[in-house]
Amino acid sequence: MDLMSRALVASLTALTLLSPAAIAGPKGEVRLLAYEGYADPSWVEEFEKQTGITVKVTYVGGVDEQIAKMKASNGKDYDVVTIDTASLKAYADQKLIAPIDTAKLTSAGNLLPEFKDMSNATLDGAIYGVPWAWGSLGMVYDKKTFPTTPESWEVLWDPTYKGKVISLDDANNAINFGAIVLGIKDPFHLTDAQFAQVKDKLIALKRNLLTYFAGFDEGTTIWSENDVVLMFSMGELAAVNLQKKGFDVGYTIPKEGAVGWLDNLSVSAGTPNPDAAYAWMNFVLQKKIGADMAKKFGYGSTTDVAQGMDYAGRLIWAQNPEDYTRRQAIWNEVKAAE
Amino acid sequence: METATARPWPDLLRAGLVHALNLGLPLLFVVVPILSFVAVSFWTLEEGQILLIPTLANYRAFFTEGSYLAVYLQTIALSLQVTAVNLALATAIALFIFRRTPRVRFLILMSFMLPLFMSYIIKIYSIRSILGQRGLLNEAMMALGLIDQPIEALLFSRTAIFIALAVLYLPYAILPIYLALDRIPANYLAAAADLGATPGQMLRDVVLPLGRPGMAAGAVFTFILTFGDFVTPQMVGGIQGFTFGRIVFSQFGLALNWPLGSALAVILLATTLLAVALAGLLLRREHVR
Repeated sequence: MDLMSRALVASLTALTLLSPAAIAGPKGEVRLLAYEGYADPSWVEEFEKQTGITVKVTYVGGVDEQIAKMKASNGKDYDVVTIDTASLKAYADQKLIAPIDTAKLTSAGNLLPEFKDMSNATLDGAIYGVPWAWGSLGMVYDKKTFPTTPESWEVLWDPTYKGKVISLDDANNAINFGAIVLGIKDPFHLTDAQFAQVKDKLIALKRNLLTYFAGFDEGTTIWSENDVVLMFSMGELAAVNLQKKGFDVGYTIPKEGAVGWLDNLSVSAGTPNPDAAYAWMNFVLQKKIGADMAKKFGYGSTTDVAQGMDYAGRLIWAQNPEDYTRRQAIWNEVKAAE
Repeated sequence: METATARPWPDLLRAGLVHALNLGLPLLFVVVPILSFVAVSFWTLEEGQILLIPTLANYRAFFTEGSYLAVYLQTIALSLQVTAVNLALATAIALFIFRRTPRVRFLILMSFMLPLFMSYIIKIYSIRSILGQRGLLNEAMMALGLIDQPIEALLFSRTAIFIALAVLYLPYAILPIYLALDRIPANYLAAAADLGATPGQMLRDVVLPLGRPGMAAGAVFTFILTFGDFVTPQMVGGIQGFTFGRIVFSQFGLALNWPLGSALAVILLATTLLAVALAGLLLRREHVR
């Protein structure tokens, strides 16, 4: 039931109002807008006990859904929101998030050296987010079908596996992915000709797909209920979840590379209780929480060196793309194609 | 003579308040939101920013750019098909219920309405786990030896969208049709029988014509709900699950193209209003004749 309700919340919060009305604790409440794995019940429990602040979590399944939720209330419905580096600018431009008050960020010292300067989250001199978790959009493959790890993304286009491939439904990342497979150097700033190439490549992929999916749980559910052997995934968690369910799957970053993402903790511009927001951020930026997150969900942590995640060097860190509106229009074209 | 003017103030105040609420609440919660997105649909999007410069570009985009128009037409076709099938199914079910004794009627009707008490999402997930390649239906048929290999096309296909939409929205068609039949006075049927009408004639000449307003309402409900559904097709339709509602939805994410999204939503709204008007027109002509 827990898995079910989480899947529902994650993929379709737009339609449901499942989140229970939380009762605020003596020190108020902190409302998180987060991806799965960013507010483990054990951390929430410890945090609530330690601070007296109640935690209310709303899970989202994707970037699009998250910004729509923030925009709907100009951030007033949430206190802390996790935003990937590539989208930070959009949030900052829309004034949905406030600059980080480094004086209140007492646990900044816990950050690993490569994340300490927060350069990924700095816009016009102001820091808009604190690096929190990273990962990649890699390939999940069925180990029985592939005794040796597939080397190239091209296997997803292989007609042998027609109808056994699933792919992430996310306009921006799908286009990044297409560009990376085509070997385009800068997948975040495409020319007209490159856009046309990527569109054709993604339409070709579509013909090999069983379906698109949105959110980790949807990907896992579809994998477990159907005969799927390959997935352009939303991240390491997809493989972790499937392994937990007993599926023999592997996770790999093929030779073309993959998009890497870095999620930052940001403070909503509409928060009435910034102290509670910083209290949560300081709490989760502890080394032990980072290690626990890496262990439980397979995300890379910014406070603890992730084990087994040796491929960071081959990732292409996500940047703000040239034009979201255009990417969405092209993605709609791909999805409407016969 | 002076009753109107001599009414004490508190009474007038109360009457005024009631009227204000009666008009004000729908105005505030229905008309204002609709007007606001109609207004946004005429705004301009430039470099990711919404500017208050009036334009028709968003509507032009619907007709000329990309596949908006094609997807719109495909979605209408899909909705019409679901509507036709559900109208036939719901009419048959409503007639079936109508023919039972009053006590049984309520029970059967409630059992058909039961799905309405369940979350929409739970229903889609259930449909998915029934139709999946390792789903209930395939496993059952394999266990019974009816098939050797799971049927792959059950889920993630146009068929799946069709089945899911039909199942989800059937109760919305049954209810109005049944209510229309329920209002047919018993003595009409008795009179028809007395005059020697066969059951078939009675159905054709008395029951169905009198049930037509309900059928129109059921059809309109089904069409509107199906046409606007942006979740079901996506979740069960696989690579064919892209519908007009989905395009509207996609404009409100990172694309942040609210003007285009609003224009498409206005077109969606206009289409549903047209469906309502069409149903009303058909019924009125029926009356005149």
